Amino acid sequence: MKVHVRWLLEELPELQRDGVLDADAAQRLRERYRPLLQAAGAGRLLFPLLGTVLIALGIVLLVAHNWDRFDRTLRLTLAFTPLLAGQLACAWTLWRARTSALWREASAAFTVLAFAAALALVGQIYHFPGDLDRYLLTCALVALPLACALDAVLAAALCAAALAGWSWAAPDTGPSGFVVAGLFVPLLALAWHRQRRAPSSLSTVALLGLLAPAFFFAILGSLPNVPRLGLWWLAEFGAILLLLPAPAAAAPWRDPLRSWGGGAVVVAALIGSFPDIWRGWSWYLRPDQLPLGWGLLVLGLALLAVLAWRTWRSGASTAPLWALPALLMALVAATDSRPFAVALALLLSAWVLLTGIALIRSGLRDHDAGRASRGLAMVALLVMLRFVDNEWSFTLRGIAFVLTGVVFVATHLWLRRQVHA
Amino acid sequence: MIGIRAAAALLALAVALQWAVPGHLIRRGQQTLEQGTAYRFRTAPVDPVDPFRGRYVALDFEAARVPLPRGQGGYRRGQRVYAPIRVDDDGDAVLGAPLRQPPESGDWLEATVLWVNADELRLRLPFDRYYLDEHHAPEVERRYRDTNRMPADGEDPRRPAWAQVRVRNGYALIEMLYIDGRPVSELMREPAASL
Repeated sequence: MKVHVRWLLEELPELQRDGVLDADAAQRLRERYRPLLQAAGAGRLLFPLLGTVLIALGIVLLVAHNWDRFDRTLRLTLAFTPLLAGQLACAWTLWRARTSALWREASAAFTVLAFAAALALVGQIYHFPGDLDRYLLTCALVALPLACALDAVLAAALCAAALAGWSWAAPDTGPSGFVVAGLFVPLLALAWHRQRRAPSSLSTVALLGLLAPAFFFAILGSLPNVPRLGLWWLAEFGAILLLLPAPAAAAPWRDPLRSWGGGAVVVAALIGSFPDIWRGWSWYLRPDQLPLGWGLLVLGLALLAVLAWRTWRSGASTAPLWALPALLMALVAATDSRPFAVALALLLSAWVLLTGIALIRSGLRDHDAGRASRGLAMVALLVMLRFVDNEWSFTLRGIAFVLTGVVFVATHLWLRRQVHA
Repeated sequence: MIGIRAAAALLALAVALQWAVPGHLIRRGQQTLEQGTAYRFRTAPVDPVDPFRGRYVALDFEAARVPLPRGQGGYRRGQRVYAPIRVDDDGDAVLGAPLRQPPESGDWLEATVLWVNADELRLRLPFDRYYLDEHHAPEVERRYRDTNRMPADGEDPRRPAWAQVRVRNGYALIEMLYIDGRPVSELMREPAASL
């Protein structure tokens, strides 16, 4: 792939000279394929980035260590020197090396970390109280325009992590889920833009792979402390990720949205397969939490409905079935589910079992060993959780685990043989 | 990728924020230290490790426990309040019953309610730590504990440590921590073993 892209880019000037392509078309081709070429050299990006992070951390340690001997002015100067250097590097990158992913990523990440260090050091110099939530929010808000300006994945990931941390660190009257979601909008827009422009580039995959869990945890942290709502959010978020329109990827790790989404729905359904979950988790929201709780439920269901309908219209008739656990949890969220706790657990168990079997079948049919193995893993997990669920002795559970493991390994080998046959 | 002008504008915004936020904090801190009124808050330090800011002495203040006059309730956890500052006969700062609005005269602190019961309120004050050299912080802490054992019955439980705090327009910063009547900066100049 890399060789072909390089060949195409080298051919463009000649094609343009010969009148095969006009200048605009050639430029569009460059913009489309150059990121692929840059993404192909993962090591070229990884090691300089790792080096940048280490340098930034080293500077933080060196400056923070034993610096009481300096007066306040010198300490402030030292605190802001890396930040100034990072800003100059960002400006230089924007004007002179904007097409270099290496420079964009390194300068933006360095500046984000340098700002975080400078802010922490100002707090240390003036003995500010420890407001971790404000600190993380400030770092995130300042990193946001930088990540967008330089189209920098690592800075965007740091920003997303800071937002998720802020959501969890905030006191119990913390941020609303809508505010958290609003702050994620620029990052999601950046990811969506990259997904459209270069869906298979490594940086896009990395951005999506980091952004999805960060967004999930940030919203989870802002939700009222009602476990049933959190479980529903897990199922809902997973289903949305799975149903989002995205081009098919060559491998699961190249398709982080579907991988995270599938995992989230299955984990939520497996947790819901315990009857005790539906016996004990009450739906209690304070009056000030009601708009957020119900708003998220209604908005989430509406979005799921639209995505499921689109997916069904596009021919993937079974894909909307991944939304069933979220739908079921939403329907019973605000009810007293104790009388039908066993029925709910059975329904979710049945969903996991049938989905697992369906995945095994389609994996066999399409000669996709990975898909078949994922289906097998779902069934095996469901079976193993039932060992936890009952009153068996440790010896019996141990034997059951061993037998299940043997069956799992044997079935897996049989499936691989079937797929390759 | 966005256009160069939009990218430049975003970068300018980021750079401006990166200077404006700490710049504001520094300016407010300097003004408070230079123009604020000095108060003495009695303390009880402990010594945790903050993963972001190195080693510091975490401070607990006697003034953070505010007795509530009878019938003056209605506070809730997490509520932001404004506590007027008074000075007692010993010269130590104490806080009056917190108000919903800043008082019109006198110095006050903006604080957060940590918990409340029938006759007492526990506040989180806007200063709770004093950063120290990481080698000296445990020694300072040990010295404090050694010289500040629990008092015998009937003895004055006065603690020989306090923080000098500067207050200006409700904003407060610790200027210096004193242990045994000596500033910590002076103690830290002594070799660690002699502390």
